[in-house]
Amino acid sequence: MTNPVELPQGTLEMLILKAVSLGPLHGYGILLRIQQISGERLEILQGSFYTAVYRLERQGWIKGEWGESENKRRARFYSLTAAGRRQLKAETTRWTDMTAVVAGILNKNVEEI
Amino acid sequence: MSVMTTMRRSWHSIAPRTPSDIEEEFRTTLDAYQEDLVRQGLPEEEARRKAQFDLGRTAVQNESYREAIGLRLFDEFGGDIRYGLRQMRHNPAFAWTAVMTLGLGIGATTAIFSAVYALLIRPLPYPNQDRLMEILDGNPKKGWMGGPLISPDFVARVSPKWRVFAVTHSQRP
Repeated sequence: MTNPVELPQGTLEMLILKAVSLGPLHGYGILLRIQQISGERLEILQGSFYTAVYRLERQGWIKGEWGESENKRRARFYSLTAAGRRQLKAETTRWTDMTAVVAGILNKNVEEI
Repeated sequence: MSVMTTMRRSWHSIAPRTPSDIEEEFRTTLDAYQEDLVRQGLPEEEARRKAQFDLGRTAVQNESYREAIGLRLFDEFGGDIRYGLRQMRHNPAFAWTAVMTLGLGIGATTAIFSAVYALLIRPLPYPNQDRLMEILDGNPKKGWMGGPLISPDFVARVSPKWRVFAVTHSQRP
């Protein structure tokens, strides 16, 4: 079994943007999708999930609308806005660059330096 | 458009979602998560506890919403003011002492400053104040300097010959 991974601060927002970019989802749907994509390895919760959702909505990166869920219940569906799409792209680039640099340093052998 | 409508609209632009709206959404998510946990084989009670641990309590959702939209400082400040008022009502003697101390302190400072300003700081009502001089009476040989006791007539008579001052003026006390 693989170990659970704890998220660094601020990355949960990125993951929510990514989950929602694949199509509108309600809150629990976002959770399930992140869990599913990560292969159940993320421990993302501990009370911080909805705070992140509220913040993203406030920033205008996601937009929430009330609708009906699969099991016929009222639920709030979130979709990515144009600004959110730009944000996600920028964040993805930043994240990829950063991890590449850090990984490059950590993986260097003595002979290579 | 009435004042109330305007206020409600501007409030809506600050906090677009109502507490009940927040709560309903959160409760739906919590329930769905809990049901899934039960389906995975967790006992009802434990499922509820885990769902609450992971997602948070319903009661604090509106608070975290307000925090997320940047009202935290506002809320904390409001809380401080309410706490202060409560304390004052709780202990009127202390409140009176504090109010009197502040009142007297501010009053005294203002009074003293008014006097100091009028006497020392406020510029005299003449143009070119940096060139304003006071002529004093005195005798350095005998080692005494008098007050401004030169007679006005003397000043009026002599000053045109001095050619030092553009204008002289005298005043009886």
